[in-house]
Amino acid sequence: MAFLRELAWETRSQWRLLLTDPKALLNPLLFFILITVLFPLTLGHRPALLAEVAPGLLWVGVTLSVFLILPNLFFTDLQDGTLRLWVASGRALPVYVVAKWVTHWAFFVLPLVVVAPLLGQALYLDLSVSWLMITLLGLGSFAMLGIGAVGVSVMQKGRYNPFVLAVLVLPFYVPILVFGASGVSSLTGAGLFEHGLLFLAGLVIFILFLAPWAASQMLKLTVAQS
Amino acid sequence: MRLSAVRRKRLMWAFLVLVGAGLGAWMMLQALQKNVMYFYSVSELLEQPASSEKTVRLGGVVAAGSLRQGQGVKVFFDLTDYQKSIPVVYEGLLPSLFREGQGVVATGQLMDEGRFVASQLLAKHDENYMPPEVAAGLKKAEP
Amino acid sequence: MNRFWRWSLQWGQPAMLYQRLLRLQPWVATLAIIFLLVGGYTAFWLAPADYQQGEVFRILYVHVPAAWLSMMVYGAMVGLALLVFIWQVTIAGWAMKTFAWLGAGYTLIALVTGAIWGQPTWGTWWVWDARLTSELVLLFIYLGIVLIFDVLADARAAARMAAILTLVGSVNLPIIHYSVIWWHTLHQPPSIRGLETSMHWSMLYPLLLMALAFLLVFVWQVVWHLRCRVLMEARHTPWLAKRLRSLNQSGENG
Repeated sequence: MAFLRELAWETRSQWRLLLTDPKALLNPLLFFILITVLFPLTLGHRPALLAEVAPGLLWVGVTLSVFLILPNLFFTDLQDGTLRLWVASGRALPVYVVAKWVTHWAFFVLPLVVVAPLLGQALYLDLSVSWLMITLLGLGSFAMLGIGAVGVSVMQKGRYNPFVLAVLVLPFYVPILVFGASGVSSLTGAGLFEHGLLFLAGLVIFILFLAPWAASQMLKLTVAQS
Repeated sequence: MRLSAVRRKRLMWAFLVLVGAGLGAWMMLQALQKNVMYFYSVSELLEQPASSEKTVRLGGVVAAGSLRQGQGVKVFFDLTDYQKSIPVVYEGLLPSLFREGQGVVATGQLMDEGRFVASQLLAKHDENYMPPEVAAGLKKAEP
Repeated sequence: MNRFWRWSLQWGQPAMLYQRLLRLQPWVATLAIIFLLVGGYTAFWLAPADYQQGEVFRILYVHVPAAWLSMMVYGAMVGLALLVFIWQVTIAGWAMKTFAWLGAGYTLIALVTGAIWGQPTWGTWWVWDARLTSELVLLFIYLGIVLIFDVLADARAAARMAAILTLVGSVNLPIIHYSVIWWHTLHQPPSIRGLETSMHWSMLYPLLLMALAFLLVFVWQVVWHLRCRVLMEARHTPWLAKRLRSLNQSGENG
């Protein structure tokens, strides 16, 4: 239980750190809104077409936004030496990873997920399903941020290369996107929704147990190198 | 065997991670069992609530004796899974493997009158490979 | 048993490894060429045309061995990753880099030949069914591992990171294998399951020969690459200098 107490403490302090700059959460939010709005503008005014592709567009939008959030996770701590102190202190590094993951998701990603049904409205997606959609997007984006945390901890600030990160991380997003998008489109059509939900829930549990370990191994190596 | 406190703790964590990851994997497999079909079989499609709007993929075998040539490149045939069958209309180029008794996957819409209008037709070849003579011999052996 | 262990552990020493690879190389190369020639002859001339697909089916003699190899190489990499991660064997890290490059190559061959096969038989180059998608994901995972080795200057850290990525990515292997059994896919189920097969013998034995040939070619490539890598890494060590000296002397004598 000492572990959980430590986790709660660390999460709270990370959360306070994020709250020191509250308007930072607008950056990914604006990015998400802008790229989603590009689609109706480029595809023209075709409600039936837009409604059909809307789940896919929203998922891709969330994916790209999450991808851009990834450097926020560890880079400042790498640069100012916080991470080095963590490793040297002998405290459990997975605690740090989970705290970062949870707080960054709640701070940066959750607003996107909540806004997604409204954007869906602009894409002529039926709003009656918004709660289920928020659930799916929330689970999926949480898993994405966890996978991304492993990928981004391979890189140091100086060597951060978004293209390399994309090749490292995006393949592992494929199942999330496949099941997430089919889950959302099933909301307006024939029912496969429960399968999508079950899959994403299983994936989140799977990643919740593996990603903190993998990411902290990578971080240790990264710190040792710098 | 006696383990030091550190090793015991590490072992406990490894065990916990394995159990947790296993639980997650099990849930995913449960979901996978029924999901992401590339196509519906004939019976599965007929069980679905009919909606002529939705584009779906339908897989089955071209029923023997059902293939009819329409005007131009239009063809009519029945797709069957040997239990139920659906009449299909398709206009376009046929894959070279397309023939009666061959598995195909059709993309299109199931219309309200029960007719499937396909916009794309893909042949699905099976896992059997044999020389033509052997195939002819097999056919002869069948009653 | 003791001798066996010593023999296995010696593979981890660069000098011994180099000796063994050097001795192995001509054998592997000869066998690979023989099997390629015999396999190619049986596959592309002796084997009869298929009753459904005609001559096109012969693509399978390249496609299937490449696809098998793409998965086998990954499976072997999981073993190497464990060696790197748990026992910190340096040479396993070198081998991982070679394996990742080659694995990516064989995956690409499988995908491209599959597309060439798909066009005349299915009527399309590519579909997003579970088998094709998961094989494509395998290619990306290979490339990710290659990139890790490429991006990180510290080879030891790169090997450990690549090992973690390999272990995480191994979930994809069973998905590729079982995709055609679990789900309706456009890709057909395997023709060989354990000892049972739905292929006529006259078409099956060329496939087995070709698979063996591909495997041998792969081993040949690994031996070659690994030998070069050992030389690269050992360029400042005494054993190499000694070896070069002895080579020079024998050259002068002869």
